[in-house]
Amino acid sequence: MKLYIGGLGHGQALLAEKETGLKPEQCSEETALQAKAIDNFEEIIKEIVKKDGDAQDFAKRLLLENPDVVVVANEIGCGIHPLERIDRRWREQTGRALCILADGAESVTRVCCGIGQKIK
Amino acid sequence: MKAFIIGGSGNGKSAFAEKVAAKLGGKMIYIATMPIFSEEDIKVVERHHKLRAGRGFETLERPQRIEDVPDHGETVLLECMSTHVANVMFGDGFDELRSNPDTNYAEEIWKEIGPVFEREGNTIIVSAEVTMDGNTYDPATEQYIRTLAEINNHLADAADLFVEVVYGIPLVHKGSIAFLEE
Repeated sequence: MKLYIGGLGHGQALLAEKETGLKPEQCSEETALQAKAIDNFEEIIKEIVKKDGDAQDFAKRLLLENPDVVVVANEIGCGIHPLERIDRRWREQTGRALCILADGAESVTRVCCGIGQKIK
Repeated sequence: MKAFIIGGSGNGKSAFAEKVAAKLGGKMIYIATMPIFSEEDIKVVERHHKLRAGRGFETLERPQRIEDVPDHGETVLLECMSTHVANVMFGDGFDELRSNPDTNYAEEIWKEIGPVFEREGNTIIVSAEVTMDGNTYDPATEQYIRTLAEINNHLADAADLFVEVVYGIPLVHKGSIAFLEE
C-alpha cells in the first residue's frame, strides 16, 4: 500500500497519480477492497461511522485484502473539536484508521501545496 | 528533557508521548487536564487509562489550574494543552480572569505552564493542532485558536525536542528521537 495524505486541496491525488500512474477514484466500503487507487479515504470512514460500523476493522481488512492499493486521504484532524458527536467520531476514527494504514503501508507521502514529503 | 508533542485528532500523540516518557524513565507522573462532562468523556478517559495501565504512571487530575506539580526529578507527562487552554478560557474556576475584558490568556497560561516546563526532571507536554480546518468561528473560539497557537509556539521554542505525530509517524521538527532506539 502507498498512502498519500494532506490538507484539503493540497494536491495529494494528483501527486499520487503522477507517481503511481493510477487515478484515484471515490470508492465505497465494498469497492475499496478491489480498487487500484482510492480517493477521499475519509469519506469511506464517514459512511462507516454513520452506520455505526468499525472503521479500524475496515482499515485492517483493506491492508490485508488489497495490499497493493494506493490510498489518498484528506487530513481532517487538525481543527476545532466538532460540536456534533458524529463529526467528532468521524474525525477521530479517520485518524485511527489512517494510523493503521500508515503502519502497514510501504510508503507514506504527506503533500503540502503540491509538494510531497515522503515521511515513511 | 523538555519534550513537546503535537498532532491532530486520533493521530497517536498519546501513545507516542507515553513511549517517550517510558524511555526517559524515573518516577512517571501523568497530569490529566480533561474535565469530565459526559459519557463520551468517561470513555476517552477510560481508553487513556487502559493505554497507561501497567506502565507505572501515577495520574494527577488537573481539570482547572496546573498546580502542585511534583518537582523532584520525576518524569511528568501533561496531556493535553488544548484542553487546558479551553479550561482556562471557558471552564470553571477562572471567573476573575474572565471578568477582565483585557485579559491576555496566552500570557496568563504561560505564567503557569512555563515553570512546569522548566521544572527539574523530564517534562513532556502534549498539545493539539487546531488551526487547520479553514473554518471561521465565533470570536470566542477564534480567540481560543489564537491563544492555543501562541502557547504551542512558546512550547516549541522552549522545548529540547519538538515532534509532530502524523498517523503514528513522528516528524521531528527540533532535537532528535535517536534515544528512543537506544
